[in-house]
Amino acid sequence: MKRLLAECEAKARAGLELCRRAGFTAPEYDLLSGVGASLLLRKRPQQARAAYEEALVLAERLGSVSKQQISFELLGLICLDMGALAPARDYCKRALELFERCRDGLTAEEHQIAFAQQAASLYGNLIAICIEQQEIAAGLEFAEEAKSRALSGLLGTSHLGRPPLPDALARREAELLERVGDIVIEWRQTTEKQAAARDSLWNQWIKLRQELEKVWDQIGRIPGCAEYVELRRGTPPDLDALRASLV
Amino acid sequence: MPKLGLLSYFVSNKTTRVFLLRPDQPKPLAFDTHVAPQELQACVRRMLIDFHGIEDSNWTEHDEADLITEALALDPRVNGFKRTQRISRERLKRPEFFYQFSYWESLSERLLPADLRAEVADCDLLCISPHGPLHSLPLSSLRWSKQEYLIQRFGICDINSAGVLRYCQAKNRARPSRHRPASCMIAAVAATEDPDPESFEEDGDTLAMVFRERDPRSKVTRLVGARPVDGHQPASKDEIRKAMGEHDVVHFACHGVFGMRGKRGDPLNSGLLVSDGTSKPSVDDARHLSPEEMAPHCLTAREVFNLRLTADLVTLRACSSGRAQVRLGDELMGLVRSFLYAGAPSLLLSLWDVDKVSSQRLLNEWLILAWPSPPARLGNCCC
Repeated sequence: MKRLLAECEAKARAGLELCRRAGFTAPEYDLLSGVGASLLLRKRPQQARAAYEEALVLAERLGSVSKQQISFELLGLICLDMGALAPARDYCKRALELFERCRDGLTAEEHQIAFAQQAASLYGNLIAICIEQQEIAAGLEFAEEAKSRALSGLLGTSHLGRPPLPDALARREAELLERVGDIVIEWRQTTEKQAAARDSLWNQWIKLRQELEKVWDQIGRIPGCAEYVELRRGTPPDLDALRASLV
Repeated sequence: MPKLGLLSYFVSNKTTRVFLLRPDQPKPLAFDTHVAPQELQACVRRMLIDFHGIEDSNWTEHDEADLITEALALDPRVNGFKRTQRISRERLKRPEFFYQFSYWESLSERLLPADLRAEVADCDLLCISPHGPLHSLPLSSLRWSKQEYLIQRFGICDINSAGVLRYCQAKNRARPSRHRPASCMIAAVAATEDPDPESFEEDGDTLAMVFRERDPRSKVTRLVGARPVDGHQPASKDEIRKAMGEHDVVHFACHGVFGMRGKRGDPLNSGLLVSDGTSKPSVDDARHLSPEEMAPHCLTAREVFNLRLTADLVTLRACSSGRAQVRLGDELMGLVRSFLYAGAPSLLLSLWDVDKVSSQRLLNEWLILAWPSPPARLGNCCC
């Protein structure tokens, strides 16, 4: 097995040289990731880390969010295994930030759920790191952040008691939320095969969401409305909010 | 003021951790229970087998058969043939059908480690946020001591997550501060197969009595049976949908079905079996017909999403009403999700198929004991 892995690595490295000379960045990233995986399986974490760090630079150059996210996640895992907790946490957090950015662009609840599955192990790693570092509060925040995010997002668009707001702002928010609600209902009535209908709904949803974000920014500036905006946005509770919910 | 504690569980691929947060303590604490996720999954599987029996289709798939064998080997070990039929009152009298949950209770010491117990001993109410397979297990029935279960020692509030709890609280806060539940809707209908329809259709007597005793002006709407009788509207889908949004307490006494049958099922097809306005639903049909064919008799989770509720509490005395498919992002798919979305901040549900006599007794006793102080307006509780 080890011999085969070494062979794979040698071939990947040869391919890397060719890609570099030809300026093929995307295949270069794939080959570097392959080298990293082979080194990991051969229990050479230091070298694997170097390979993935190099791959990360390429992912950034390519502008691929998903490739960056995977690289950060793997680097986090390698550092965790090596006992390098601080960089492990940093890498995992950056993977999570990218994950959040991708998640926010998903309209359908089922897509958000499927997407959340990818972050499950990331949260597990972050919690393990926080506990090792004796940062229990951060661990608790991650533990709760990992749960029911799609449901929180969904509840954010449901009927919530609105704090006192200027009439025009309240009306505008209500109108936008109603339209978002209609889109969610319409989306549930479509199937995977109705791609055109879903594309159209997705575009409408993105626009409405952007408008809602602006409205929420305005509402958030009104004293006493910060929590309401957090709920609307589906922001996971931090330690203070967790504590407040128990009082 | 009652003393509260939040127990937040997190099941990773190696172990189960629990965090404790008390508002009166400066920092949260963390405990490693050393319970592997596989142990919890085996408990979930065994409990489903104990309550629902082994479905024939499960044996045909090889990996499924291995998992069932593993679950049956948990203490007390049982032979598969003793679990091929559903739990029933008659069978319980026979020694070979004796049920014990020692496999679950044996995890009590680990899921509630000694250090954690010492920290929560003076709490009045524990707010439990499970994770992964723990959503499908009755944490309230862990042993606190030889004499007491957790539920006997503390008030227990079971939440999807602390994030979801905030929404439930926000919905409660939106009500006037002196708001007391003043109206209730009772929808009760048996199935064609029930030899004693009154065990469902007389349900809600206690709830109606409690309401009227507290305030004779309380509004009690009873939707009973399959068709209109003596001026009473039936527990039909249309009547229920019309009335549900106008009451502070909503109570169902009917059969429930979990939509996730086999690997191709859809948990959002889970629902409550009600009248179509003229006839009773059939449990047998619900097991064999398609969701489209059952539509006139089934108020599904998908349909509940489109309702708007203002109720403080929804109680579902219906089989498997709290059962959900737990997806990896810790998303619970089933009736709970849709009732929360529709606006119910507190739910009383059943994780499995339940015996109609014991569930009625439990609910009546709960109503008499708990009313009118709880439902603690902390969040959603799933029992």
